[in-house]
Amino acid sequence: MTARTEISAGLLKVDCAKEADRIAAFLHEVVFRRFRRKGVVLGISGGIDSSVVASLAALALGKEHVLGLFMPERHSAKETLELGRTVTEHLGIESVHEDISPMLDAFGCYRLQEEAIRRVVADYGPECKSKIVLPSVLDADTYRLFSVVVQYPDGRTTTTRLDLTSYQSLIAATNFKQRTRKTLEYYHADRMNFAVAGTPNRLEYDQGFFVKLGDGAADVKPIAHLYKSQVYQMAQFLGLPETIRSRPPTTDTYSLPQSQEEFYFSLPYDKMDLVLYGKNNGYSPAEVAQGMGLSQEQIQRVFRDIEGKRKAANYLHSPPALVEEIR
Amino acid sequence: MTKMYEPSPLKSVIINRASNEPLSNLNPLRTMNYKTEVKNFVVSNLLFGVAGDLKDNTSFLDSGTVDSTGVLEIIMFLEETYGIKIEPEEMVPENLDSIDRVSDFLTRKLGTPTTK
Repeated sequence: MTARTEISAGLLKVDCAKEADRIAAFLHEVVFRRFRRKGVVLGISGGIDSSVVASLAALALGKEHVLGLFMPERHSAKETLELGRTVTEHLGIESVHEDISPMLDAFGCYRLQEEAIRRVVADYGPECKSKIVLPSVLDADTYRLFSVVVQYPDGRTTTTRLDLTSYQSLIAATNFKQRTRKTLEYYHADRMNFAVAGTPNRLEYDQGFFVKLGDGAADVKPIAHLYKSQVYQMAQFLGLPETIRSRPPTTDTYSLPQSQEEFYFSLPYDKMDLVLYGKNNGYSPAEVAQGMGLSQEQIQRVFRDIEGKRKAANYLHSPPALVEEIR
Repeated sequence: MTKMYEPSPLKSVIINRASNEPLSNLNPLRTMNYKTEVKNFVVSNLLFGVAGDLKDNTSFLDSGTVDSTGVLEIIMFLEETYGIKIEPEEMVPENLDSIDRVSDFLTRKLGTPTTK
């Protein structure tokens, strides 16, 4: 009986040339033949995922058939727009800059966010900054319940647990951002007869790290099967600028910088990839723990967290329920 | 101005009570049975009235009865109904992951309920 390969980063090594060809062929077939669209439009955040998707789309369809949208808002990091321009200039694709802050104001997004936070932090105001964070899944067995971190103008910070109403209200208000961006993507797609490309990687797609009908909506998702580590490999293979490849993953959603493991995942992406890979390929918690230098108990907690998020993601992925099949 | 969403009035789902007073107005030590009240809340609010295979020792997490939002609903129910504050270190499956565990947790926090 062949011994199973020990869990290690090597398991995620991808043949980038072959994968790029496969994705490019897929995009060409889907966009031009199946959907009969003349190109793709996608949001460009300056992050690794949208950069790789833009690059693959330009490879597959030709750069004149790709439109990048910059859609920053009041809480976006300063470098987001600059890095986005770096990508589109590097690829030679057309871009449009749409500041969505006025739209979010009109929706009441910022006001509703502040009201939600004030339910638990009475003196929270527009001059404060904030983000929501989860406790570590490695360190303790506590439920992963969100707290809001508030930074006051004098630099002082507080951390307060969100109750049910404030949590749901804050998430609902924040979701305006992703849904507004998707509205603009489809506006440009409609006017140009393009398709919309989504940019989730495997971790995000599997674990429901997206807003339903926000960044979760798209006509094609060319890297949803790639682990985040593999997206980084593709970025290097495709020759994307080093400033893009070295930017730490961020949600770029709240006014305070927020890492993806603070907000959603149990571990940094490179470790999360390995645990997810192990779970997907039948490795036991003990085997995964040994390969990663963590305890079996810690990996069991992460496995449980993965399962919980997958169940929640079922709703996010579901198309409309119908009484009976049509056609 | 958009009305803030408020979840269903929790007090209205406590059934089989001796009086019509909101439960939070009663001395918790006078309630009949933590287990019954918690079960009623879980079945009404998280299972939409269908208990199915839910037993007193069924793990909420393992059975999919409760997700992270459901845990928040349970916490809110307990804090508002029994007038207690659940500390972050108490928000663990050991205390909240089944009807039995929640009942035991309440007993440790409040003492054994007695009937009038």
